Amino acid sequence: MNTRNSVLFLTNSEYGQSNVVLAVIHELLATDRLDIHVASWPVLESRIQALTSQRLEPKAKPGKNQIKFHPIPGVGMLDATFKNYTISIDSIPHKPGYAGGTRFRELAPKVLACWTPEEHVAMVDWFGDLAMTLKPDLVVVDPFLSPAHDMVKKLNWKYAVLSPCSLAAALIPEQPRLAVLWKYPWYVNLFGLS
Amino acid sequence: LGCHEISNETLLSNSATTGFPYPLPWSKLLENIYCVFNAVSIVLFDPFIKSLASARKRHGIHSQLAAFEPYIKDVTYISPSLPDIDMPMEIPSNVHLVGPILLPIQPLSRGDSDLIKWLQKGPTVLVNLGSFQEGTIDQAREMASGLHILFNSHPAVQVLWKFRAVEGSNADKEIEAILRHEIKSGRIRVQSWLHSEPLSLLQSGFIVAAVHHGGANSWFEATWYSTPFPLNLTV
Repeated sequence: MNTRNSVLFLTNSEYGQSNVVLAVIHELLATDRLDIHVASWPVLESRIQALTSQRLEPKAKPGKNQIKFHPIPGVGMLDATFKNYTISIDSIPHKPGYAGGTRFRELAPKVLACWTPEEHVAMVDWFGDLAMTLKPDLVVVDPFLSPAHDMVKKLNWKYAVLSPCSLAAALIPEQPRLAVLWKYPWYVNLFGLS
Repeated sequence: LGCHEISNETLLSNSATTGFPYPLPWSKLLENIYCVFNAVSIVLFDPFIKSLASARKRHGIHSQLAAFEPYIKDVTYISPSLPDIDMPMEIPSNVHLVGPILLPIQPLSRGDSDLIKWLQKGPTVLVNLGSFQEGTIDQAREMASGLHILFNSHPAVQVLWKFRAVEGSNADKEIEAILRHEIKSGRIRVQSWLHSEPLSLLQSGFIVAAVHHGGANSWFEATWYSTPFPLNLTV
């Protein structure tokens, strides 16, 4: 009889995005109360497995403290951006304020829609199939992995967002009296992503 | 805030920065409103975003793209930030700024005894703009010239600089030309890869300043170890 709760992490594989996921899993392994599933791109798998081997005591019972890794098909966020769009390194720096507006309009969509529409909806379906198979009690999503957000909202799955970043971008638009316009500089924190 | 390595977030953060101070001065009000609406115009009119939106709709996805709906009031949010180090703002009860979320850190001694010997020679500035960062010849010249000024004004300071040149760019040679003496005397180490985790370096106590690219991980890590961090946003 399996009465353990389970958690499914859906995360990008880049170090900057996934470090917090690894740290949380490291703690969860110590408590040994949850079944842990991670879906990400294969480059993350060895780092996940290293966590298990660090944590596994020699006398641990087999089957406990295991993490199940589920490789996401296709390419990760950064690779997708460079596969689907032409971005030169030189085009990234820009002028501040108004003067940088045009370049920003060129660059932002390539990052926000880094996967093609076909790739994006295929990932939503893949995440959906995974959730239906595993039936996790909670899904934890990377704020940047937009197809994962689409899946949890579409299927009404219980989820939490684990971000490696400040949440200022998400919260500033919520501040009273439209402070987003007159109090806070529209700055690095765009669209809740940084 | 971006992330530890160049990621999409770094691309965005460096492209979205207005460079305006907080609180926003009234003289910048109109420009700031323009920048907000510039971003909103992407949501409404950009062809890539629109084609993604219609593909999602055809697929039965009727929510906003996650990036355009960064806050939902009945979702739990967890972040390694803290109210005291973040933007001054009201924080709803479903948002948890919990402080450091870190893996255990390997102490430096496990790895590089040669590095430790070198670090012991003097206060060290760590320059690390992310693992995927690749520098052009212009960036190499700017940064090397800046470090040259630092070396002249602070005779005791040494520098550990993680720098990988854009392939075929001669950026490495530019650095060698500008910092010839310091490289020779060992006051600066320019390495294409840091063999020790940046956190292990910060924890060692030898790092007096950490120059980084504004990535969230770099930002927080430097903060946890009270290391001052000048930002270099030219990545």
